[in-house]
Amino acid sequence: MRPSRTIDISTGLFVLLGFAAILFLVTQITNREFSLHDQSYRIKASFGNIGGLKAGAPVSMAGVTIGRVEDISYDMQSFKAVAVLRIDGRYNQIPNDSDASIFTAGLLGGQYVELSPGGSEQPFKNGDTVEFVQDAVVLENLISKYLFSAASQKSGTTSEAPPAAKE
Amino acid sequence: MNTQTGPDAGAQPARACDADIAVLRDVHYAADSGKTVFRGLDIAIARGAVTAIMGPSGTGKTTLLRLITGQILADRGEVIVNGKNLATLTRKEIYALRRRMGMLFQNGALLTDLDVFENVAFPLREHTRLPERLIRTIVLTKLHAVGLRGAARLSPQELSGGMARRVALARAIALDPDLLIYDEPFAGLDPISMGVVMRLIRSLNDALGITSIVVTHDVREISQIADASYILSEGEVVASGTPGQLKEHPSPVVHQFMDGLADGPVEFHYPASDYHEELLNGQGR
Amino acid sequence: MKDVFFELVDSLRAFLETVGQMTRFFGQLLLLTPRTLLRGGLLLEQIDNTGARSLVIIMTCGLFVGMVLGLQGYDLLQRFGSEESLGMAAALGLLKELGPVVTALLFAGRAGTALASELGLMRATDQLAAMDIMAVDPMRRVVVPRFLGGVITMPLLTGIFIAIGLFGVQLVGVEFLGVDKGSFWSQMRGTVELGDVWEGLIKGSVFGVACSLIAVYEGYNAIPTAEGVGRATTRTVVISAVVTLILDYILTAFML
Repeated sequence: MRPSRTIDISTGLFVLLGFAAILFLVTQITNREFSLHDQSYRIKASFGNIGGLKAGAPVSMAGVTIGRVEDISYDMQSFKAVAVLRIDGRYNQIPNDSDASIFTAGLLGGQYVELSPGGSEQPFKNGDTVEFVQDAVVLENLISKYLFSAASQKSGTTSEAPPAAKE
Repeated sequence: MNTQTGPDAGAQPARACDADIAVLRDVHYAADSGKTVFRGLDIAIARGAVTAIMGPSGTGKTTLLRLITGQILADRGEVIVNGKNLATLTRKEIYALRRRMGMLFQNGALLTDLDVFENVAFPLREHTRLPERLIRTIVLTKLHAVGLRGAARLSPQELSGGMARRVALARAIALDPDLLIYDEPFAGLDPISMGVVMRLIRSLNDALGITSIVVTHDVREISQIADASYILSEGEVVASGTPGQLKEHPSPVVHQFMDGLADGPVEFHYPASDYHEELLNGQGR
Repeated sequence: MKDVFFELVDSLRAFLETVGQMTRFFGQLLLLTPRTLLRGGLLLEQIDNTGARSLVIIMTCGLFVGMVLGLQGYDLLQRFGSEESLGMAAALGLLKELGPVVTALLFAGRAGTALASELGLMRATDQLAAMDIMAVDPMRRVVVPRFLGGVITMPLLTGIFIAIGLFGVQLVGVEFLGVDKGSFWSQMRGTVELGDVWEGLIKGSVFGVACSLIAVYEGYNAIPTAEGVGRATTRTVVISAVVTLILDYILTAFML
C-alpha cells in the first residue's frame, strides 16, 4: 500500500470533522432538557376523551416538563382511556390530589398533560391513580357550545348545556 | 531444472515427469456469441523453451492465453498446466498456480496509481511478507534486469510505451515464475525498443531457466528468438515446428503468413458482389 | 405498435437482469467486507478519495442551501408572523430531507463518478485482468475498499452538510434578517428531537450504501473502451439520483 502521510492527515481531518458535525447536531440542536432516568415512577390517569394525546407527549407542571406519557390504552371495564404517566424521580412531592388536564400547545400544536397541584400532604407514589382529570377539549363540542350559548343569549333565554354531541 | 532463487510465494505444485509445462489436448471453445474459436486444438509447450504462437488476427490467440491461465475453461478437451488439469482446480488452486506464472499484457497494464517501484513491488507485497529491505533489493534487481533501475520513481504516465512494457516485464518476473507469457510484446514499438524486448525475452528465458510463450504476429522478430512455433488458423493448428521449418512449409496459409503476402488463402477483398455490376448499376444509391 | 411493446418487454427484462446482477454483486461485496476492513491502508486511501476530496463541494453547497433556506423560510414564516420558528423549521427540513438527499446527489456527482471512472479505466486498460493474473483478487484489492470508503463517508458528509447548512440559515436569518438569536435556537432545541437527527443520519447511510454500490458496479462492469467508461460514469449519476429519491420516499414513509 502506498504509505502517504498527507492522505492520513487529510482523512483524519475529514473523519474528525464529520464526527464533530454529528456531535454538534446531536447535542446542540435537540431537545435535551429531558431524559428520563431509572429513578422515575408511574401514575395512571383515566380520561373520558384523550383527544389527540399521544405516547411520548410531555407531562408538565407550571409549564415545566416533568415527565412523559408512556402508554395509552382503553379500559373495557370503565370505558375510559387510561394514560400511564412516567414522572422523573426528582419530582416526587406532587400532591396526590392534583388534577391532570389535557391541553394543546400553541394553536395547532401537539397535546400534553398538565398537572395542577392540589393541597394534599401525601405525594403521588408509584402506581397511584390521578383522581381528578379534565378531558381533552374537542373542537366540535367547543364550537357547538359557543354557538348554542350565542344563540340563547340573543334570544334572551337562559343557556342550557346542549346535549353532548355524539361522536 | 529451474533453480528458484527468488521468494517462494506458495507451495510448489508437484511437477509431472513431462517435458512440457503446458499441454492442450483436443481443446474446443466457443465464445459467448456462439462463434467457434477453437475446434480440436493440440499444443504442447516445452519446458525451458521460447515458444511462439502466431496466426492471422482474430484467430483467438488471446483466448488461448486465457485458457492457459485458467481465466476461461475449455468446453471440451483438456488444458494441463504443470501437470494439473485446470478444469479440476478450485479458484484458490488456480490462484496458487498463477503465482508461478507471469504475464505481460499488450499495453503493460501497470497500475496507474502506483509508481514504477511500487508496481514491481506489488506482487511481492500482496503475496509475501518479506521485510521492506528485501523487497527493495528484489525490485531494484528486477528493474536492473530490464534496464530501468534508474526509472524507479517515475509514474506510469511518464513512461513511453516501450518503457512501460519493460516495467511490466520486471513486475512479471518479481516472484520468479516458471512460465512467462507475452501477449503481443512487439506491437507498436520502434525498431530499437523491439530489439530490446527481443533480447530480454531470450536472455531472461535462458538466465532464469524458465519457459516463455510469446503470442505475436511479428514474424521477423520472433523467428530470431523462438525455439518452436505454432501457427493457428480457423481454430486449429495449421503448422508447427522451428522457425526454419515453417519458412519451408508447403501450406499456402502458412506461406502467406510467414512471407506477409497481401493476398492468398486470407483474401484481400472483403466478400462483396461483382465489381462491374455494382459500379454500373449503382445509380439509385 | 408491436415493436414498441417488444422493446418495452426487452427493457424490462434488461432492467430486471441488472437488478439481479447488482444484488449478486452486492452480496459479493458484503462477503468480502470483514477481511477488507483489516486492510486499513487501502480503506483510508478510499475514505480520502470519496470523503476528504468531497469536502469542498459539500461545505460550499451546504452553506448556500442553508442560506437559501433561511431566505425562503423567513419569507414564508413572516407571512404568518412566525419568523422566530425559522430555526426550528430549517433544522427539521435540513435534518430530515434536504441534508441527506442533496448530500447524496452531490456525492454521486463527485465521488460516485470518481469511483466509476477509476474502476472503468482499470477495466479498460487491463489493470483488473493483470491483477487477476497476478493472483490478486481485484474485488478485494480495489473494489471493496472503494465501496466501503463511500459507505463510511456518506453519513459523515451528511452531518457536515447539515451542520454547515444550519450555520448558513443562522447567517441569513439572524445576522441579515434580524430574527432573534435566542428564539432561533431555543425554538429549535424545543422541537427537534434526537430521533430527527438519527432519521437524517440513517437516510444518509442508506443513500451512501446505494450510491456507492451503483458507482462501483457500473465502473467494474463498464465496457472496456473509452466510450464505455464515459457511459458508466453517466449511468452512475443518473441511476444514483433516481434510486436516492425513490429510497427517500420509502424510508420517509417507513420512519414516520
